[in-house]
Amino acid sequence: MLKDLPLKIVEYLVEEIPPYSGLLMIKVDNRGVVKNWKGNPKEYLGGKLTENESIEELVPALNGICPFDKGSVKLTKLQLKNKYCDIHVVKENGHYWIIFIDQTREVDSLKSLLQNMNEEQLKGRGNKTNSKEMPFRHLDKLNFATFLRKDDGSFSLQPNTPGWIKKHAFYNKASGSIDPISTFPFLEIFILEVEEFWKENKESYVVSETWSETFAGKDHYLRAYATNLNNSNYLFLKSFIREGVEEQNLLQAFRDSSLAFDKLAKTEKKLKELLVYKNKFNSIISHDLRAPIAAVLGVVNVLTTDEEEIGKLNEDYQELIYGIKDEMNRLLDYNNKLYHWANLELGNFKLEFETISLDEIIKIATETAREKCNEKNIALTINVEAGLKVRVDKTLFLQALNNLLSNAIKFTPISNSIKITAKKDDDKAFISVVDTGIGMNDDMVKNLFKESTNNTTQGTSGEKGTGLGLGIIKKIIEAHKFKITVKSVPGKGTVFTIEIPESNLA
Amino acid sequence: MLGAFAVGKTSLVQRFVNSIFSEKYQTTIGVKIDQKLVQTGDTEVNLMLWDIHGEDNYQKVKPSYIMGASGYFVVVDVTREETLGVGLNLQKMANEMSKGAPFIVLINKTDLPQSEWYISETSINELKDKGLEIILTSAKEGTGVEEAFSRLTELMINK
Ligand SMILES: Nc1nc2c(ncn2[C@@H]2O[C@H](COP(=O)(O)OP(=O)(O)OP(=O)(O)O)[C@@H](O)[C@H]2O)c(=O)[nH]1
Ligand SMILES: [Mg+2]
Repeated sequence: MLKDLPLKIVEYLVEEIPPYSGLLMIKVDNRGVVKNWKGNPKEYLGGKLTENESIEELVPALNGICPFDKGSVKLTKLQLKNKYCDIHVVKENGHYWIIFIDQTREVDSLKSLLQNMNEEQLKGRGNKTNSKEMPFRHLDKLNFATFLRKDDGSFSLQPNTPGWIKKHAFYNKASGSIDPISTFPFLEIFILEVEEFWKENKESYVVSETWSETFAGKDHYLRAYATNLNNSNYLFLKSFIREGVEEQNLLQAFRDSSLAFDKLAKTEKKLKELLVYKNKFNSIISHDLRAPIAAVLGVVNVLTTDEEEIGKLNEDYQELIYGIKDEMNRLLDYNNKLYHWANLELGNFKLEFETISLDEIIKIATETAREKCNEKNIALTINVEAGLKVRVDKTLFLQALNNLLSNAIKFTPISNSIKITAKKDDDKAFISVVDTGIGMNDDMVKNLFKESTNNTTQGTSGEKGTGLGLGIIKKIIEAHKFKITVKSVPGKGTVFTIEIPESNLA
Repeated sequence: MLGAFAVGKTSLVQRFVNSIFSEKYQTTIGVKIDQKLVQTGDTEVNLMLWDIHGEDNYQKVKPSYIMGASGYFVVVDVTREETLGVGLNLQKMANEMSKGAPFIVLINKTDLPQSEWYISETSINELKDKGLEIILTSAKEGTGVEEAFSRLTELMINK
């Protein structure tokens, strides 16, 4: 209920409102039109609340008080349909929060008190002199212990002592009294303030902060009050249960959630650090692996290009060596991808833009792809609008195109076709790679660019993937501030389109 | 006991007075006063421990609570960096109100793994260099707690 309230309202709730057993808050504009609310309107108003309804009609007591901009409003112990409430109106950011503070419990206990007093009066026992001697004799029903300050500065506990104080170890059964100041060290400080107040002999009262005491195995929350009456000084102690100090429960809720939030934020930070660490690790490892892989590959290449030498081996060994060559090539490719991936993640790449014709860069990309196409007997057609020039980081952009093409080849069945097109439209250039492969459903498309290596799918001829390819494409395209989109129909094929903005066309 | 909320003020007092610790966080309402008799040298001292509610935007510590203090602890949560700033601010206020009563900064919850510490050894050493007396504590495991209270008692008596 609280977490989406404005700070000002929260502060108000913590600091300004009396102990309560429930809350309803209605946000209205300055004409009293309901905007929204927190809490259960039915419990308080007896009916439903709807947006844009007038608060004055709902709560007749507020009639004439709207518009609120006259100043702050506090009504006390108002009887609503089912409850007694204090009503406060607080202005916040152009709106008004009407806070209904449930005081039914307080009123109920007061009621019995009044009832008692009235009954005594009726029976003629409550004559004036008597009430002068014991003016606060019913306050015990509200858990108040009343002390009268004697001339020597000590305090005497007045009759009708509430149960809680009699349980205190320092309560003297014989004298029926207890010394408040030495019993409750907290009062040593409050009493300084109170002495000043008593000297002024004003007809108001002062209240202490809350403090807590444990006695008779129970936690008591106490507040002290002091007042003057008929030239006598009175000190009261009231005991609450923790729930009675409701605004403090609010505080507990806040602190709990603030601690939880703290923890989350820290975990997030740590995770981010771990990710950076992971990428650095990958970057370093893949960089250092390059040289040995290339060295082994070099040896294998020497072996396989020298036909005379390899001819000397029997067929099994020849196959083994070609197997090593294929696997080493795949390893090198994988390692390159890993390296690019980690560095892109780390933001280590500074793009070096150069102007290059689209025709040319696509030609380079297709040359690399041509061999793989031939292996699967895939027809590769190119359709590039003449004269288009783009500003890109050639190495990276080529890598993206290569990845797109090998992805297309991977998912296109043998003897199908792939098309690559480039054209200008509306000041932008579009490069599309269109395959006639197995396609993807909406879910797959949605998850396509997620950075998960769990997403690897086998190609139509059992090609293995790294799960990094598409992620790298996306990173490269985003680093250029270009866009990439996917359209796919299961069973029909997929179209990847790179959109190059006018600023990068030359 | 002064400090931001949930740094462990109540836990430190409970560890010291009743030798207990609870994982559950129940924020202190107002003030809770405990007592404990301690022996320093040949003197027996009755310590009145004022466990004051934590300070945050919603609840400010009343200066009058500190007026009569003979000494105080500023408690900091080693896993929450911001609690150091809150503590040092309270210390400034306390220093004025108590007319320079002795104090010790307690860096609490040091039982938690170092990887969760957000107040580094360097910043702790910086505080020490500024002349602040600092003790690392754990209310959970009891580390440094006896030491902290007897050291403060000593400082208060010798003042
Ligand atoms: N691990 C660990 N947790 C602690 C330690 N001290 C306190 N805690 C935990 O921290 C939380 C807050 O402790 P409290 O003693 O209530 O803190 P406080 O400073 O009195 O809090 P407020 O009264 O709200 O100002 C509780 O969940 C304790 O269990 C400690 O030394 N180590
Ligand atoms: Mg506490």
